[in-house]
Formats: sequence, C-alpha cells, structure tokens
Amino acid sequence: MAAFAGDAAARIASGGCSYGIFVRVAGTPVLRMWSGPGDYLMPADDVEPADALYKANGALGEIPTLKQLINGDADSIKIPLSGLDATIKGLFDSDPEALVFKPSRIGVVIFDGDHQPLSETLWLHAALSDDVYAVGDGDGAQIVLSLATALSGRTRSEQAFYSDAAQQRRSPGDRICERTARYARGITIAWPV
Amino acid sequence: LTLYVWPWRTLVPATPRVWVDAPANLGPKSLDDTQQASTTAGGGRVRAVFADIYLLDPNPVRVATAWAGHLDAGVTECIVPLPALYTAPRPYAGGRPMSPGTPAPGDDYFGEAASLGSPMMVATAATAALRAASLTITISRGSRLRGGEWFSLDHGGAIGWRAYHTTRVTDDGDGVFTCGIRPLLRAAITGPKAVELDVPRCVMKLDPAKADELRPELALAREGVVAAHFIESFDY
Repeated sequence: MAAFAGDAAARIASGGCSYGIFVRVAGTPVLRMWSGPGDYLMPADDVEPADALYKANGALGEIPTLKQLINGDADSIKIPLSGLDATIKGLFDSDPEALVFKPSRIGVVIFDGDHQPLSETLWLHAALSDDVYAVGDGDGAQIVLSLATALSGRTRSEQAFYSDAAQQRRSPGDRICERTARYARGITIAWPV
Repeated sequence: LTLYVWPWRTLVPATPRVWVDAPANLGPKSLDDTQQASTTAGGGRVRAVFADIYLLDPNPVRVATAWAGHLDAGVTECIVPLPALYTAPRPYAGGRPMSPGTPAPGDDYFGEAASLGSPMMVATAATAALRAASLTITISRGSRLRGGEWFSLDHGGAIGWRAYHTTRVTDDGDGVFTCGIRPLLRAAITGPKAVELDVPRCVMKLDPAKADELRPELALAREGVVAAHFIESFDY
C-alpha cells in the first residue's frame, strides 16, 4: 500500500484533517461518488483513465469498515447510499445488473485547509461490487452497495424471491412461478391446469 | 423544469439562520480530554433555517400551506432568497447605507424572479476553477467587502443559483477584492460573471426530517407560526 508523503502526511499527523472519500464502481455507466457536497474533478491517474467528475448528491453514507479494509481483514463491506436521490436511485432501480460484479475502488484524498487536494488519490481498496439491495424502514430508507474483495472470493448470495415478477426478471417468459401468488392465499392448486 | 422562488416577502422569518454546514467526524477522546476532529464534508453545504414565521392573516397561511405541498417534504427544489441585505456591502448615501426601497412587484405565491425594486449593488467575479476556495470580486457599485457577506452566482444549467459567503477578504484596491469563500465554488467560472449581492439565493430543498414544521398549525383556525428548514440541493 502506498503511503501519504510530504504535506499530506504532515496534515494527517496534525490531527485536524480534511479529506475526501471516493467510491468508483466500473459499471455501465461508471458510478462515481464522493463524501463531500457538489462536484469534484478527479485528475486522471492509474485508476481513472481520464479526468472525471465525482458526484455527491449527499448520497454516500457512512463507510463503516474502512479501518478493517486498510488492515485487509474484511471480506466485504457494505456502503449505504442514503438520501435516495433521484439520480442515484434511478441508476440502482433501472439496471442494478449494470453495477453488479464490477471492479470497484475506494480512494482517499487528503485536503489542505482550503479543502484543496494535497495528495494524489490513494486508492486503498480494490473490490468487486457483488450486490445492490434496498433497505427500507420509513425515514431510514437506503440503498446498499456491497463490495467484496477480489481475493476473498466470497460474494454475497443473491436474494431470491419465487414470485412471478422476480422469475420474469431472471428468465423472461418462464412460467414456473406463475401461480406462486395463489399459494400465499391458501388456494389448493389442481394440477395440471 | 421551473424552479419557483420561495415566497420571501410573504413568509418572513423573525429569526433566520443561514450557515455553511461542514460537520466534523470526531475521534475518540485522548487521555487529557482533547478530541481530534476531521471532516469529509469538503467545504460544506449551505443550510438555512427560517424560524418563527408568523402567519397573522389569511394570505401567509395560504402561502405556507401551498408551499408545504409544493415542496413535498424535501423532494422538490426551489430557489431560496437569503436574508442578507443587512450585512451586504450597500452603497452609502448621506453617510449611511442605502435603503433598498420597495421590492420589485411579483407573484407572492409562486414567483420565478427575486430582486429589489432597483438594483443596489453591482459586482463581477473573475475566472476561477471548480472547487476554488477564493474568488476575485470587483465591486463596481457598492461599498467595500470586509468578510462575511453572502452573495450568489448563477452557474446556469442544472446547477443554477448557488450561495456563498466571503471569509477572509484582501483589498487589492480599485474596488477589487480577493475573497476566501465558503462553500467551495460549485462550478468553474470561465469569464467575468455577475455577482448577486442584492438578493443572494440558493437552490435548496426542505430538510425531509423537519418538513412538517412548515405545515401550519393554526390557533383558533386563524394564526400560527411555522418554520422552514432548507438544505442546499444537488439534484444535478
């Protein structure tokens, strides 16, 4: 792992530090988010092939296991995306497949007192996005992006629902789950129908 | 999509608070009880709390009800004029800051513009990069900047109006000032750009957690007090 040097290292050592956390999921389109408000123009480096705009949208929730990530002992981390902003929600709702099993990176940039970058982006973590799911409980509704390390090989099992709608999404035209809704209502199904 | 202007002349807050919110992530306390703080807020975002809006006749009650519905508990964006004229660098006339006179007439319910009756301050900002923390402002009409003044820039497109305040101001002479600003510049400025000092405004949404405070509760079905909690919006 690369380390911060020079001004950035001094800034961290001083204690009071301003920094940005960046999440990049190489889906289609590439999902770019960062921890602060407004747009952030990331200069090209070995992860970003060209200068790229990172969006905030107030969407990036806490990153709970960053410490574990640095120590390398976490198999997967879950990043809650709060706010359910229209742009982000649209991305996840319309086509979650476009964001699943894609190489993902988490990076950190140390800022100076005026929140200008002191360091290049330190890409701490390489992972695969292995699941996207929604957690809703009233005002705490979130979309959660799960990132698994490429080394662990452990990915999260997909939640499966044996409803007709879910089956049509997995395999359009397949009628095997067509009548499951009637089971839930306690109807005895006569076969063959 | 039309962004309507918050009815700033009808719903007047008795105790407004406008600030740039950049929360700190606190570390654990040390042995000697100091606590280190870091921030990932990257310069922060504008928030406004318009507290104690007194609804004393039918018109503001209707406006508050209409806007509570229009803003949909923080889903819909609007343009919020910020009450900052008192500290603005107003030109002096007769040894005292000029009075703004009557605001320009307009729709009190869902207007699309906000301005004073006649423009009081004129200023331009020079070229600056995205997320710049300082800005060179030339005042062509008005008094000198000292720090702490709110202003707005219309970045156009989806970003629209954004509010900033100055921090440390250096007087370069001839009405040119180099100003630290917060929050950081939301979009690059490519040429001289008009700085709005008369009615600074910002694209904002209601704070969803406190949207309910805008819904009037009327004593004897006549009078009430409401509050509006706004957060800068980033739907672009």
